[in-house]
Amino acid sequence: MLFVAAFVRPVVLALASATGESIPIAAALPQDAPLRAEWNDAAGALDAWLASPTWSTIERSSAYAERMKRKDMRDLRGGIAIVAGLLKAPAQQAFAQALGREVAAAALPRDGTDEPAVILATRAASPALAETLAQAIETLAAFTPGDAAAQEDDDGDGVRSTNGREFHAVVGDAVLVANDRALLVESIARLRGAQSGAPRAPGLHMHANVVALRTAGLWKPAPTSYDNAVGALLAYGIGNALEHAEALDLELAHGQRSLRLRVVATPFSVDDAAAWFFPSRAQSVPIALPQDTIANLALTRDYPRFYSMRNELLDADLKGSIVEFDSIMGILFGGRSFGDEVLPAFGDNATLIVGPQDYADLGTPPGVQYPGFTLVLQRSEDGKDLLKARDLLTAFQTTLGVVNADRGQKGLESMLQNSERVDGIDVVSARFLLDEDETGAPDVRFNAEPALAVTPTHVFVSSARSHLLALLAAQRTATSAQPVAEPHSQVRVEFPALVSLLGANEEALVANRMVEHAEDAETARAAIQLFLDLLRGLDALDVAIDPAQEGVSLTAELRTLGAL
Amino acid sequence: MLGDATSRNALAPRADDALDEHAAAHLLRRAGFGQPRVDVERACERGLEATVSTLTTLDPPCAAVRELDAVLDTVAAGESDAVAAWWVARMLRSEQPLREKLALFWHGHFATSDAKVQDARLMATQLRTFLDLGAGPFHALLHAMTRDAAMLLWLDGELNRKDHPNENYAREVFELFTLGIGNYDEQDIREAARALTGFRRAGGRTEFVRAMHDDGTKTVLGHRGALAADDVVTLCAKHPATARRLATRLLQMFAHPSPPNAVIDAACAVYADAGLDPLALLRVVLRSEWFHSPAVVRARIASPVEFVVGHLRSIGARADASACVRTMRDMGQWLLRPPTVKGWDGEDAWLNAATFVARADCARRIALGDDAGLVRGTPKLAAEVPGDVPTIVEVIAMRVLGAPLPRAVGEAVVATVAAIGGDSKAAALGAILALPEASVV
Repeated sequence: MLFVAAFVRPVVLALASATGESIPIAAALPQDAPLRAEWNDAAGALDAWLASPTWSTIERSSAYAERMKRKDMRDLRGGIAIVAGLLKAPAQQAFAQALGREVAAAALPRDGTDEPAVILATRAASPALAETLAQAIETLAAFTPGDAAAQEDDDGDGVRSTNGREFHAVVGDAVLVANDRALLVESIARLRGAQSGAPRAPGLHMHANVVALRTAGLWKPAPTSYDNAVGALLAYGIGNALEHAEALDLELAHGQRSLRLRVVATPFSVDDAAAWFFPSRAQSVPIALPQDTIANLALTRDYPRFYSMRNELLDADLKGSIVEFDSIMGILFGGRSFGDEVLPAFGDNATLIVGPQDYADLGTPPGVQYPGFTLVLQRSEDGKDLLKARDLLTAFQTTLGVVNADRGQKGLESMLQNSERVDGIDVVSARFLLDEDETGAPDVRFNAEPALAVTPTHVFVSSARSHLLALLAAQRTATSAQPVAEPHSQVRVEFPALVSLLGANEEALVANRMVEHAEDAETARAAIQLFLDLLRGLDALDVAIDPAQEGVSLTAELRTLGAL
Repeated sequence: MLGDATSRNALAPRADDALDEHAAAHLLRRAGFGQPRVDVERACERGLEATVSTLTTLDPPCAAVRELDAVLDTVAAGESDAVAAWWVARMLRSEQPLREKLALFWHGHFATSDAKVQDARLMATQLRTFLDLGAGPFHALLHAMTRDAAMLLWLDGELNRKDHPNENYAREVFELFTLGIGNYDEQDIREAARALTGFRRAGGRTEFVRAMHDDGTKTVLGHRGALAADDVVTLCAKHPATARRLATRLLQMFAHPSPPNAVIDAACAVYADAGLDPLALLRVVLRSEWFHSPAVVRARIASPVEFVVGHLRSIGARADASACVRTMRDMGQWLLRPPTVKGWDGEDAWLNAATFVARADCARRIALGDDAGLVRGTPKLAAEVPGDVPTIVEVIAMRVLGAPLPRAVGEAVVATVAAIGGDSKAAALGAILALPEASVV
């Protein structure tokens, strides 16, 4: 076999371009494969990860040491050691040499079987290492089931096999492995006939031919109805767009301090039933966020149209709940129709903002601290006639009255209602009262201090008055009043603020871990500390959905405070 | 009749002090949860008398329980399910599970649900009372329950005012908590309700407001005077019907769902003589010939708590106590949320088509693992069981059930395990836990 390889190698090397550029390994893949993937410079990503503070934190932790003692991890390490031994290099170096430069793979259907034909191609660090890798494959394949009689050496077409189930070839510094002989032969020919050029940018690139996957029955249809309204508001249109997509492309790339994922479905098209999910987006002044904001979620939807289609979009068994909701809204809004007279009073953009609460009024913070959640809705110009500030404020008070009456009936404490003017803005709220001689941390109920404020442009509905006041203050001191295009769907998580909140709940997290993981206090505390330390290395996460003419995309970017 | 020598003979001590594996496992299952191998071996070494003495002598909690105790207030700042999970974690880790089992008994007796209370701190306080006072004289426990803030909410104690008595708590004290129907009349309830006026919640505790209390003359159970809550508690606790009712219920929980009258008489005598101290009664019951007779062994259907905690302890598994609470709920026992003031019906009512499927699912999850992470890590049992499939089945049956499987059942389990293939120990454990034999204690 070595003899054959030695014969083939000079031929293949001659394929390398005279300019010194090599042939991208992905050139070996069938371009019409329903699934294709490339991973370039994986070694660089691995090196960066192993040198990162995050990995250092994990590696130093007792939880990691404990995990490494587990049988599955011992087995994994043993497997890695065997492969590294076969490649005659330490594990990290072996990975870099075998898979660390360019790796590409494709899967396509095969006639007469459910098992797809799969080809994987990798560029080793040198032709000699490619041959070493091929020999490692042969050694490992010898331990897998197959027909030993089907073993074959390269008889001129470059194909080698150990057991008639796997087929591999060395083409210069490239190693190709497939489970289908014909596919491998075609791939070798493609590689040999390809033009030299630069591979795609470092990172993972995947392409799915959705039409082909759909035809092969490998594409799961998106749900046409949801069991809750939030799920429908978040995902309905995406599912519908995917149903119309012909291709799906994914890119995962890492930078010095970031990890970025982008998925694009093309072309962009949806049913009429999903049009509410992609309304035309206006420009508006963005909501100013307080410094310590933990997260925010902004969704631009045609809410009145969504509501008018609620019976089609939501599961049939929710009909009773929908009718109940309609009638409650009718009571709270003085007989107005929620769909026709309440929702149109607001614009298309709704933003949920999460931030810490200020417990100064309470004295001692509750034993478990929840963040405040505030929903901010735009008031549309036309809608101000439909729903005046007074209507909203009294609806809120009515709601609290109903809640109090219900709690009183059950013998539970009621909430004290409050109305105040803050810089000319009416704020209504309600809170539980501490007992005069109460000692110790207040219980979890004291996280709830529902509040509502109506400004000329927005309505703020919050689970916590202090968070609402912080938001109002941020609007007053906002430095920019430039309108910008409203985001379609956007999420941001600020990890330093999240860590601050979690840190305030550390004792509760430790206690919870002791109960849920059956750990002693010391072990539980170490695990929580590790979790917090990992979060401390993160800066922010941004996720956005953006519909555009050429396709609808989802982008997620995780940024770190130190090198990733 | 009480104290009669003949009656007491129904609970005469077992003549033989030696314990074999089966008897030791039976004793441990009833006085606690499951039959951890190390405890079975120790009981066999020490014999019946010494083991019962150890089981019923409740020393200060072990280190693991003390650690959990230290975080109860933190846990209780959240939801009541978290408090229930904390309790399950205690059951799983306690070296003296009788304290937990008695608390479970009293939770079913003074059944209070967070569905109405809606305050995890109050539920935690009540649970703490069961753990602290449940192994002591009943009078102190009833006294504490009468002032318990969760109970006050649950049975409308706050609505029981001088001018507008609410009889809810008084009625349940007579009917369910102490004497039982037939030992009081409506007049007793009305008068007792007046005596119980004056309590209200103040944050997480209860305070007595004299101005809200009816200090007039009342007649309860034939006793007349300006009776107050303590008087009602004392009258009820000392009433002979209470001793009989509670002794019967303790026998049903720890020995047999339908104890013979002679045994009830004997238990009642012991219990009354001991000032309604459950440990005194259990010392006699657990040592008795009757308790170790074939009629009592495996005579009870395991409650979901006994099923989950018992099997997890038996196989030496670490578990996610929150997942345990959810699993028990699916099996029909939602801790801190009993269905009514009568608690859970228990016994036959534990098993129906839905709950039996839930038990089988729980067996699968304990044995094979699951996404919800009921079991953390590898159970000790997996490392300890050697041999081929028949041996594995035989050993696991002894560990989990405390008795060998009937031959035909054993062969069926062996065939099932062989058919499943893969990890024989996990398959055997799953198959055995799903057997009806695993649902009795």
